[in-house]
Amino acid sequence: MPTPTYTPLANLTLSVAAGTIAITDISQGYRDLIIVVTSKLSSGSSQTNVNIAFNGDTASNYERTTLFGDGTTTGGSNNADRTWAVLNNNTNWVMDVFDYSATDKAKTALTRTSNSVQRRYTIGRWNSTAAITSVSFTSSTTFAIGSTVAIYGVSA
Amino acid sequence: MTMELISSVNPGGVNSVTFSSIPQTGADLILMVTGRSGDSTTSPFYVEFNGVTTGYTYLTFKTTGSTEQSSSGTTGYIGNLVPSTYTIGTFCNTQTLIPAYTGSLGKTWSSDSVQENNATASDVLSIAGNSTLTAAITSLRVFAGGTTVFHSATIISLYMVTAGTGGATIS
Repeated sequence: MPTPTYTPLANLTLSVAAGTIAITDISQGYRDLIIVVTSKLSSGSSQTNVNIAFNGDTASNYERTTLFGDGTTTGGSNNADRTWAVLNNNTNWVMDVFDYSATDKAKTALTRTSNSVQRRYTIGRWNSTAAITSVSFTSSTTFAIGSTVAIYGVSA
Repeated sequence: MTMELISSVNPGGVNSVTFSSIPQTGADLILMVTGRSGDSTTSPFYVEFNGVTTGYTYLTFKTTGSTEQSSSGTTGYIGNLVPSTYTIGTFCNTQTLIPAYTGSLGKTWSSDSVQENNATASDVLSIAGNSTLTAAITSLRVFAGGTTVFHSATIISLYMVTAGTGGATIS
């Protein structure tokens, strides 16, 4: 008998604009997490960075490598930062967080972002062996009303 | 089971298929295409929501194994069907995510696709798509460019990812 997987854990539609979206009290009963976000800028038109924080950690424990296409050129970069997604008008991103409840390894994630100016892949690493119990996304421009967040657990 | 099959079709010999009366109880839609063209040239294919023919934009990120490219356009582009001249048994394999399809924001899609012909061609294509449609998606049309028809071996499946609660808190 196949094991049911891709279990929905929670979802939310923002009723007010917010600078931070926080996912807390994450169940520890799965192997991986998949987080799906749709959003847009609540004002303005300039793309803004979205910084991630696991377990509330905003210290210098993150690094990432990014590849992107912007409709004309392709590029890539790597930095020791928490900018694992970007927000623009009509944005979605899907983040796969691997082995999030393990306590013997640093955590890695793959984020695929789509919006009106980029298709972007970011591979990120959080240098902590702590099990992930919360994830937050923070943008300098608020996430608009109507933004959606869904989180799923993938069974081993 | 949280990824539910809405419908799967074999559109061989036709130019388009339409999934209508899409349930409004899900969080996301996932469109899976294993496709070949009925024509001898590589054929783009597209999505269209609710019968709306305008308001679509996309940009791509593609690698051929030796070069990377990026382009943009104003259609519901989601991938390329491999031509009928490619080796039998080779396909484009495309997964398109349409998140929050019942939401109030402009609809978006993300498409990841490969097209291959054994060792002679291998493309990876990723697409970010936007639509100005803010209404819930109730129907979805998948169609090939121009008068191209889908090869008889093509399979197009639409899935719905259901939402749920109880495993985390979002605020």
